[in-house]
Amino acid sequence: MNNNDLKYVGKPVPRKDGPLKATGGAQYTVDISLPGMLVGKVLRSPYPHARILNIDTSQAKKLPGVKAVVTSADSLKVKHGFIDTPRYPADQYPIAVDMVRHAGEEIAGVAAIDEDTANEALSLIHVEYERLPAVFDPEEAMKLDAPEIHPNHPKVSDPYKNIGGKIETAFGDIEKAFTGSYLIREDKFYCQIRTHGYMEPQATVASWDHSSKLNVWTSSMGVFLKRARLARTLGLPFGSVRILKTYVGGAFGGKIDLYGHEYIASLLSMKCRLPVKIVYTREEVFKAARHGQPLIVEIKTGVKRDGTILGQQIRTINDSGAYRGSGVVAIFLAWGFAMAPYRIPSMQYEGYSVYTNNLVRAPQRGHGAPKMRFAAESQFDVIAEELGMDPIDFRLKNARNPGDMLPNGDSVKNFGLKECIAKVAEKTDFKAKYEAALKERHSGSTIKRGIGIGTTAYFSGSLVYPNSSTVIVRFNDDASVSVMTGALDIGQGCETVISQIVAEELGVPLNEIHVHAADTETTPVDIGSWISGLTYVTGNAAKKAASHAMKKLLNVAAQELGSEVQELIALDKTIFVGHSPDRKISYGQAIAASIAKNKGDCIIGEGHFRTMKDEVSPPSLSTAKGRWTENYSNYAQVAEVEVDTETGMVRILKATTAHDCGFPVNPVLVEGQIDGQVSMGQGHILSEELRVEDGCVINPSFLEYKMPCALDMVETDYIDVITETYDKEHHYNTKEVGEGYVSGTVASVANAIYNAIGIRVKKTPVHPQDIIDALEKHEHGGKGDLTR
Amino acid sequence: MTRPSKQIISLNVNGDDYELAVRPNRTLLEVLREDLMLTGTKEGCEDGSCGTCTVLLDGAPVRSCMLLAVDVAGRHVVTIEGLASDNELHPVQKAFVEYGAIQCGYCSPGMILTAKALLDTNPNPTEEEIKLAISGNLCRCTGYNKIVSAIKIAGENIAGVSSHE
Amino acid sequence: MRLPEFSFHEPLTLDQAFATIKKNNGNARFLAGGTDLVPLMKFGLETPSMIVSLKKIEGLKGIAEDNGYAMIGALTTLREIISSTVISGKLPALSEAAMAVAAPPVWNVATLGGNIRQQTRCVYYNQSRAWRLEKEPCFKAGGNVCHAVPRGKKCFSVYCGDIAPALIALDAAATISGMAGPAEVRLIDLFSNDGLSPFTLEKNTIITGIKIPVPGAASRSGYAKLRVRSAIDYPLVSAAASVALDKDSIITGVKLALSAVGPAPVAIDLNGVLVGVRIDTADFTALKDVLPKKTQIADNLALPGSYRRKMLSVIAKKAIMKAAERAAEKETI
Repeated sequence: MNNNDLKYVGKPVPRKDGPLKATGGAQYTVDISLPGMLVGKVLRSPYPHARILNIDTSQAKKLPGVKAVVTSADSLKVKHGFIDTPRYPADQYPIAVDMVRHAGEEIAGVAAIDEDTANEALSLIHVEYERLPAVFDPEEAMKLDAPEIHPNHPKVSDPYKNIGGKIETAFGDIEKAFTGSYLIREDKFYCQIRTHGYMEPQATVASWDHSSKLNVWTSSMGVFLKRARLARTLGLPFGSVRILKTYVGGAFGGKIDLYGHEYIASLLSMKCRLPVKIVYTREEVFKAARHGQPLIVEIKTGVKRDGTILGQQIRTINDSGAYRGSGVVAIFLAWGFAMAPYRIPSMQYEGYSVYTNNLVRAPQRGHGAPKMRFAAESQFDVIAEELGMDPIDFRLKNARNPGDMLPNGDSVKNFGLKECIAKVAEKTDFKAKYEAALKERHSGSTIKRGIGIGTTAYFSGSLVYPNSSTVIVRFNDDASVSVMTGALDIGQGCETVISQIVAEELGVPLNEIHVHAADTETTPVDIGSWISGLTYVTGNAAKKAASHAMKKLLNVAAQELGSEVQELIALDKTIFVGHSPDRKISYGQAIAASIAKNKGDCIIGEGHFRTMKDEVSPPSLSTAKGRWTENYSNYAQVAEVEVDTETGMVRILKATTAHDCGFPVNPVLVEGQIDGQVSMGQGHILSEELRVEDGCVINPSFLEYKMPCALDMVETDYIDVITETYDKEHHYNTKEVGEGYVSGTVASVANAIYNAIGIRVKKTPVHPQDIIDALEKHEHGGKGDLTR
Repeated sequence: MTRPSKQIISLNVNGDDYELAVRPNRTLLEVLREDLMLTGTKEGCEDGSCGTCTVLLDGAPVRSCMLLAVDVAGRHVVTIEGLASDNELHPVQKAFVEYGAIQCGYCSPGMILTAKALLDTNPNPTEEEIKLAISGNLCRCTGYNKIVSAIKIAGENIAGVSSHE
Repeated sequence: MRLPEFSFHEPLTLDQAFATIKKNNGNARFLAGGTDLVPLMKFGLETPSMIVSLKKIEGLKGIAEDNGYAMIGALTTLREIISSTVISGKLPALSEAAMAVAAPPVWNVATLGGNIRQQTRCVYYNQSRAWRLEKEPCFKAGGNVCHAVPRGKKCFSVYCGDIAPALIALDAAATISGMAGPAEVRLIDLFSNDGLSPFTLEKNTIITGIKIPVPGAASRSGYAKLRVRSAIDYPLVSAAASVALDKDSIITGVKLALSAVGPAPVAIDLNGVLVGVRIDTADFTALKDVLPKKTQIADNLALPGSYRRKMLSVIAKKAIMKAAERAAEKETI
């Protein structure tokens, strides 16, 4: 079947939860109120590194209105971690035991009848600390004389300190590659700490009821991971913990893992048997939740005279913060984002994840890609210029072809990168504008224009707990459909996408598809909204479930109509015998017949799906061996910028994105994902930076952490590069679209700034003072890059 | 110091008159969410910088987290719950739903009310006027493009309907 | 974050307002729009025992042109200022400055008087009580250190108002009502240049209105503001200018005022620098030396002080050029 024959899939249908969200009826965790509910608050460490000598909660407990106070003494002292494997065992208590390693770490929790009482109770908890020396810069923390935050990882023998994880991998012959190179470049790039900036703060309502069940509503990215982490740390069977659906006010990676307040709210509720609600202040989000991954990338690349890349040697250092968090994942992924898009015959990679006394890191949209692509794509432009090539030709020469095999055994399959690069260059008139900008560089005007390109390839689902998705599709008596899925819509629109797929398979209109989602008690397991595999993994599970139900329905219809299944045609909720259209049965009649005759089967279909079904385990976080994903998305983006050489302010005029997301199940949702990433990339490259001084966040607010506002909006344009198809009969291969492209904006803007003013950007964000300082240096005959 | 006593205020919210006893230190946002259970109005920051708490006060968008409830006694408040009438979405709500202007939805109530107030006074705004009007409402999901288009389309739809009448 | 407790009063006249304060003998704050005061109270930076709302007092609102002056009530909202054609036509710097404040929903409640009388700011001061408890209290919070200037002996908090510099460049005066009765004070004289207590006004006084001489056709004004985002943000540096030109486009007078450059806005005398030259040949390089000397810029806003100092002349020039272009336009009409 051609994609054009589709009725629901591939169409820009409005999101199903739109009316609820537009009328204020969507209930987020912050909106939940239960009878008798208490206000929970968390006492946090003011110090970045200290021993806890004593905690005295006696006065707080006596305060009228206080119903429970908890510290680690009330806990089972079970550690948790974003990664919990034999090599990387969990290393963080959900409530501090004896030590704190970052400012903001959880010391105690209180539940009280109102917020004022809870706050007063916090002030009555007396903690004695012994302060310890702290370290905040990862390269400083690696030095042998740095304070020790955790002992080195036992498998790491390098002469460094505070190494939480290391990954080493290589393929080809890097020495030979460099020996044979015409040109070798070595550069070092820095990225700042950014935060996710979800508009709904972290929030949790926990309610331990008298049937010994813990009900939890929490602003998250997937309910099954939360259940597993909460059950383990609380010592409860999975069946005793129920995570229920709430609407989620944004996440972007920042709401995956277990957070201390989720544990503390649960513990408090278990203690006083009343519902407890904890909502972070915005300041708490900035000071105590997790942030994205700052990364240092050293990159050395050798090329032939004609621009062919021969080899690349990369070293990354990740500041993982006070616990391992997702730091070791970031250095693994950074490798993947280096090797996937371009043919690099020889590569040597080592990545370090280093403990510091900063806040713990979580994945953040792109998880390593924006930093790695910023470094690689910037260096590509440097090399291209030195070779006298233009940036487009250099990329086209080295981009992977469809069917290329990656060193980890993945095939890039239908890889549209070259087509994306060519189309975006053509549509933006890249080469002409690039040349024009070079000529304009030395004109008298104080406003300089530039154009730049950035590209990415990104994974589409991988193997991390809970690894797979199951969907159940159930016909109701009137042939409307209920879909049970564990998927959690965090704003990306997955309930809509799942509905489109089910509607397509069943021929039932979208408004008759009802999704019941994200409840660990009543919906089947789901991979979660956080590894860019939902449309692929959950979508295929939904497809299989729907076709399973449809097969049952057709079987009944064949029985009733006295025909063969192959002869049947379904249209408008009626099943016809193809060659005699007056022989027909409605879906409703077929369902009734099934119940009457097939042992009461009301027609329920189930579908299961897992990516890389033959792979037993996820890829190794020490050697990078093992397959990563089945489908690689790719994108090429061109940014056009304007640099005000008097103020140093950079304005992104337009971002044009050519994207290969397989095929867009819902084009308007795809565009929404791209726009959102352009905006987030804009913040990354130009304005956002968590300012931390000695472990203290000095801009913990939306006023001082500069996320773009509507007046800073970047005009966007899109080019579809469609490389996959959706057939009703088969499994489909669609690709990621939700996070890879932050990289495109960061890299393309950095390159466009160079095109405009001739200054190479080697750190993010590019503050206006950096531009002014670099321009002044150049004015005085210096060269010099814009760096830290 | 004795605790300042509650004051009785009347407030018209979404067309209904309420008489409420509130302490002077409560914000309009707190009273809407906690006393009237109108949780469509959200809180996103503490310092008035994000705009998620926007409601209409006598028709004009304001940040309800920075207003004392006692200080707006007697006035008319419209929250997101008061915009749709007779089960029919307001044209701005409709356009937001249809044109992809909503993702996570947390900024949507404030954004929609701000847009509604703009179109009430300027039914045919330019793109720049729209961007300025919503420049105090942060959105992290959409990059604003689809919001701006939705507002433009809503304006055209409203104008179309009224010229038709 | 919850607001601390206070009593609330709504006097109908100024006399009643002062009587209420006297009777209750408390730590009072006047409430106009509240967009500065309410966040300060949430952070525990202002802890009044009583709030006296000015909203019910008659005669504090409105814009009128009278006898060569524009008279604006202190409780006039920024939205009303922005909507006024008198102001946008003859006093454009004031319009522009009002539009540069925060974002449109704030214009609907923020007032002229409140904007002028906003507190000075600092990234180390405008923080919650819990945040500040982690550090020694700074000068402005009643302590003895400055976190922005490590060995600083005084408070370097920054006056970040957009409107005051425009009013200073426009030669405005404020009418003040207090226990001692009304008085008129030049705008620039409202400021003490002391970060701890930025205003010269006595406690429990109210700015009731602003009086601005309406310039002749040859003189126009402009406002320029440097900030990271195009809305929401306070200025990192801002400048307002009034420029008078003769018919040959020769500058006959310049008034420049800067904001976000120290604890008070600064008026700069440029008569010796720019007067007597044609606007299109004017040399602004002198500003680079003159302006930094008049300011006390430290590292306490979103971008570093060194950068903000460099931007003084750039932003000042933008304001002057805007004003001059408007004045030239008037000349040709």
